[in-house]
Amino acid sequence: MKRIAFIVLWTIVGLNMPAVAEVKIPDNLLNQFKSNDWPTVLAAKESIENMEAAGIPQLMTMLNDFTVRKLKNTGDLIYPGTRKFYGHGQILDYNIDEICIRAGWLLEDLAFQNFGFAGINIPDQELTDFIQYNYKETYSGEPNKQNLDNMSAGEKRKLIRSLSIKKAQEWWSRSSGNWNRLDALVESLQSADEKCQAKALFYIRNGKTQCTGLTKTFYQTRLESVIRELAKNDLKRISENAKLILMDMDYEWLELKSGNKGK
Amino acid sequence: MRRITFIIALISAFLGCSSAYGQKEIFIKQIAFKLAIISDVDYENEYFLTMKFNKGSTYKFKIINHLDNYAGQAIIELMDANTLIITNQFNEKYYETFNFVCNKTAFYDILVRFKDKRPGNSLIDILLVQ
Repeated sequence: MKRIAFIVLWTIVGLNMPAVAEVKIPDNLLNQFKSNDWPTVLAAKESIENMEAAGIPQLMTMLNDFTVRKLKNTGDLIYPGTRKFYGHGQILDYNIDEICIRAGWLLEDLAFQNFGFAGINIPDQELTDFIQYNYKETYSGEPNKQNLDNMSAGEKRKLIRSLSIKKAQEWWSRSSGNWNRLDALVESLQSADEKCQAKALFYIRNGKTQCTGLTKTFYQTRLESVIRELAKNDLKRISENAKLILMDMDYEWLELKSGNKGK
Repeated sequence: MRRITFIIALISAFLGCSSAYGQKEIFIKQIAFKLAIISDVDYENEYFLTMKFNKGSTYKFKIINHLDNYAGQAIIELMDANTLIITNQFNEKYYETFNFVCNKTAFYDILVRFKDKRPGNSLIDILLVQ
């Protein structure tokens, strides 16, 4: 009897395995994300973000895609590829015309990480400081500064791009297997990197995509104390955002998120 | 008939003038932002504030730069989440005063930076125009 039960159990597991293994970004959605139509890209980004961990392996592969798809129908999107500035619009620090940077943008928003993709298009005179501050392990110190000073702005940008990709790959080789978005949110709030903290706070306050397990109870038991600490932070971008979340007694921020309506 | 029209026009003009003169500016907040040293930490180089603005109201932003001879010119960005609503630098033009006509009651982020990442010392007054 036990043997039969065992066989039945393994059969059920076996039948369900392919379904679990095959959860990945559908090809049409991936193509939409790689398209050159901005509204399509934005909608696809949101759908992929809602898949949480399931989409990450394919995004990691996309980091090696250096093709350029110049965006169209950008309206008043303000990003490094913008040709005309209208004085208003959605701001994006990433040059998402490059597919690898587009993947980096999604990964950073999904995982609340700061790999450095947003630094690729900062003004020329700020590139050296950016590299030395963000990649301290490999580029701190005076000799490295001199090496960097001898590089052209274009070379520095390529360096930031490759360092960002490397940082993302290292992150995934450490995290894959047991990564989930909810733990990532907590880790980023507790991170020593203020950009990660700001991303996590921005997501809590304004994010619309799904984060499985993010409920009022989880917030009260795990997040609220962390956010209270952040409300005392010296950086006003951190403390102001934290205070606003604490002030939201109706949990309107939770209502914004996919799958959280009415929780 | 002409005389009546003339009188009506005169009264209308008078009322128009008096309402223009009667426009009030109510002081709401002053931001004092002094940045003496540029930091490697980006967020230390900015002033960040969140304020609630109400639909249907007009708010005026007045900037006074170069206090104590600091070189930086303050650039203000009014943001609704990640959307820039209004700024005082438009292409190469820089404005020391601008009005924001609010069409959605919400908390907005006010970001202040100094142009070209220079040290600066500025005052920004936020007023409600009535």
